[in-house]
Amino acid sequence: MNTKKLTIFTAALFMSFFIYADQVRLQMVTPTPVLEIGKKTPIYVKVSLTGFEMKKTTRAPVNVSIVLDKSGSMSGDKLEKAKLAAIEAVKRLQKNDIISIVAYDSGVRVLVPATKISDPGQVISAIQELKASGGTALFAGVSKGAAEIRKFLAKEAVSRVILLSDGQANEGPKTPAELGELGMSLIKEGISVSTIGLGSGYNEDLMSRLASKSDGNHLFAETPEKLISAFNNEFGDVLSVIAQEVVCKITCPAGIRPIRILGRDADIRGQQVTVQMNQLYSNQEKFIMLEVEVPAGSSLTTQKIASCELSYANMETNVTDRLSSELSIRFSNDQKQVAEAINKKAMIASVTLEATLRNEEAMALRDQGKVKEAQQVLLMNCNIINKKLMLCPSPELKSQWNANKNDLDNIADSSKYLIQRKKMKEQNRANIYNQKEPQAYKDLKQEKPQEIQADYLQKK
Amino acid sequence: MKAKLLIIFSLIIIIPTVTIICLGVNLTRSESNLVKEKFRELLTEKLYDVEKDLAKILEDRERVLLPVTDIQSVDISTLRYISSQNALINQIFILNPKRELVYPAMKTNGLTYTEKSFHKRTSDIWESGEKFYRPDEAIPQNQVFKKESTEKPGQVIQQQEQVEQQQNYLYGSAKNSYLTNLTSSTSVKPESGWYTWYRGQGLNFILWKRNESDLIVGLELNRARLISDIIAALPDSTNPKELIVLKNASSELYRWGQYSLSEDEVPKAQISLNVPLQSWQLCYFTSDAVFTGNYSKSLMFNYAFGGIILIIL
Repeated sequence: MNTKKLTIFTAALFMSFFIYADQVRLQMVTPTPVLEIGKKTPIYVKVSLTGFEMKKTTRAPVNVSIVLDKSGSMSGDKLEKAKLAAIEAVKRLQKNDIISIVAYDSGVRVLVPATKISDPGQVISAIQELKASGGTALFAGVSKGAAEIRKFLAKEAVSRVILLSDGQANEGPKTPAELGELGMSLIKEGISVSTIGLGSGYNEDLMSRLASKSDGNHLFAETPEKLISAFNNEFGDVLSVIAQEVVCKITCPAGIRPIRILGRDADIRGQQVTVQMNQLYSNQEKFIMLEVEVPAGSSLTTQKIASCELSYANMETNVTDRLSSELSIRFSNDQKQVAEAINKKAMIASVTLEATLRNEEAMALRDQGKVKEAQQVLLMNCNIINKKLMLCPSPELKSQWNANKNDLDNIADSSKYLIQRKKMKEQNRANIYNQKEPQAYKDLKQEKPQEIQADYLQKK
Repeated sequence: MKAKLLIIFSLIIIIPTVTIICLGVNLTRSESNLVKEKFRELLTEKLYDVEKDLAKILEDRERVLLPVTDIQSVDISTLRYISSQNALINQIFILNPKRELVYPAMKTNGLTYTEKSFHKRTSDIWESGEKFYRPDEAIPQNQVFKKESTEKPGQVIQQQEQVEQQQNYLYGSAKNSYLTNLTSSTSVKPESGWYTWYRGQGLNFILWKRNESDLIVGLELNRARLISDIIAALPDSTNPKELIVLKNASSELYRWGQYSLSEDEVPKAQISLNVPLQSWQLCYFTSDAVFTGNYSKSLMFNYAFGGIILIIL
């Protein structure tokens, strides 16, 4: 009898573990939950995924490969700071974590093959021995780093290549398309590549493409001193992964037409939209912004807009969690009601993403030598953000306005644009993929947002 | 008299001595050329060993990927799942027995972004009508479909329905005469092969297999991933005396070894790789000192020895 009770108690305890285990918070909202009757309207659907608080004792093991550029241009302070940053990062790892160190110049050397970090001293001394020389075989460096990760590839571990470079890839495959294609392959295995660009000489298109296609982060360290915080940030993310293999399937009912996902790669097929992410971090929100077209509503009814099914591997329980949610809107003929119902947080998110895409457009124009057109887009961007700020005052939009104003002020100057472009890339990637504050604009002096007159550039 | 003596002396002593020196130098030179040739052969052998390693990678890739092409039912979701999950490929595609691209079908609504991109990347192949699978292939006629079956009768009916669904997809619901042939068609001998074409940054790869149902299932490989895996399998840069470079038609892919190249240096040995990497090359670089060995020392010795003899005389 006692044994039976004990079994039941144990089973209940076991079940309660799963019942009360933390889960990702899935939320579907729209900036405009009430629409005016009689108007066919495109609206945004924000699918928000927020990671639960990670218990320190249950952190998932990490399998990380640090790929360091030791080309000639890294000589001096750059390499010294890079070594220091890598060593600091290694010190944060625990016994169950796996580390490998790869260094590349014109060729590649695996300094520390993938191994459990039982003796950090050995890893640290391998890093300390690095000396700068040669070219930049970046593709080969990533290839060797990924191969080291593959030696211990496991679903239960967080797999990440962290790539540092200060220069143009000039040996081996070197185009953003090629690196992007490699990233697309790695993400299918659950390997993300986070890229850290140092100084003004690296190829930000290549580095951000590799990061975005493999769902990693892209960070810009303007000076060697900022490398340590960049590595710290990156390791902060790596060590706080709470979910992997995240698949979000959004289904719209007949009549609601999915148009596009802002910024992210997505598979839109008929009424179904599928978005994949590699990882979610503890206490961090990542979101998907879907634009849909809603037909004109004819009565004061409620209309279902979309439903979402989310699945992910919970790194705390090693179980695949499945969640679902749905979103409906209302129609009203009262304009005041429509205005009052606006979801400010969702509005801020959609404005930020739209502004980011316009910023990308400005960058593309500037790259084509169309400086004035690029400035016009940025000026327009500032004014749109300013208008939205009146509706939804928020520090996020304020810093977005300031970042765009800074871009506007510096985009014409060729000597400043080299750095500015890297900041813009980092900012845009952070807005689209991570919803994190980018480091590059952290120290930016904040002005009070205001409308910028059309003659601002002439006066300037 | 003196002149005569001098001539005789020359004939007897100096000319033979000079001849011996010349022969010595020639001998050293030819020996050196022989050594160079042997050394070149050795280096070429070394490159062929590397090529064997590369061939093994491709064999492994075939071994891993060919089972993926064993598609018996054409279910779009399954095919899309394969393309989205297999890290080694960009896209799976299917040609029907008429050799029409039925997945991802052209001019079809509801294609995904990746399927549309595949059409763009491979448009040259479809537009040119290139029979990459086998140029002289003839469409099989009136063949009987044979399939070893261990299923229960119920399962067979279910499978028959699946086959019909598949055929509806492949050939359209209005079954044509060829479809009738296929439903009762025999198994064709399965075969497989590689196809490569140039686009974008270089050589692109397709691994295809003709299965028993006479469908050709092709896999467009992720080119960057293949190069990445090849690089990962090649050695690190450690040897200071040599440098081996793997390059495609236009640019370098990977190098290992630490020997510093001078501008326009010619490789000491060079080989072209086999299909499907036929446009790739392996080049071996090393310093002249390593390559020629003691040749220059021997030559110097010969000259010095001859000079001393002549001075003594």
